[in-house]
Amino acid sequence: MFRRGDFVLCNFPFREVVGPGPSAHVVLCAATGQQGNIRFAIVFYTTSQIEYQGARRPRQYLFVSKSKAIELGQKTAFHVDASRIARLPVRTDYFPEMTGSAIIIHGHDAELVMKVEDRLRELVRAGFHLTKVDAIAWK
Amino acid sequence: MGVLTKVEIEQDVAEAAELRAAAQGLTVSAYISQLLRRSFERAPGEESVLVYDHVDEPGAFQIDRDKGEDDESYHRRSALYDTLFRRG
Repeated sequence: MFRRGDFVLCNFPFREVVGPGPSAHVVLCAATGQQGNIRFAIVFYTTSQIEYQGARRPRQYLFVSKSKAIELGQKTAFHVDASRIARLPVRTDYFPEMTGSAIIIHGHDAELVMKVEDRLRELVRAGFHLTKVDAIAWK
Repeated sequence: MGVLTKVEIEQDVAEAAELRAAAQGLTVSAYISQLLRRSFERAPGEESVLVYDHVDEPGAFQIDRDKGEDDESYHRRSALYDTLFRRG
């Protein structure tokens, strides 16, 4: 099973589409936990493409260099997006590389999770609005 | 993927998209759709944290404690995620 700091493949959802996203994407696991009978994982979205509006990188993105990315089992530099976070059931429709309780881990960096969490707290303090993208409310 | 439709984009953009899609193991259609869907999630200039919650279950919310994690760290993390994912 995966844990805080693991990079795993995830069908990360979209705001305008119900259920898991249509394709697998690397995410950073920030936490795992339990609610009732459901095991869940809390994950941050990652991306290799961001829009620079001006000279500076938008503050919600934490850059991971190519050399660090390779250490983490990735092919190229990427960003962890502190402004896209999901709580998802630990199931194969959300985590397609799960087999039973096992899953393929593509890298691990628990310290990076702490940095992303700190950045998330900064965004909230700075006035970023929390927008709940609640799959349950669609039912 | 849903129903497809045809759009025309500039040749160099299509070629760049093809390379990037291949690097991610996606078709060009899936790649471009994904890019656009992500960009549609926010209005231009919107500063927000998007909190997706797909857990529909009553009961207490509890995250796992890391091996050897002290109370302060655990409570700090729990408070953050409780703020984001608390229901009701």
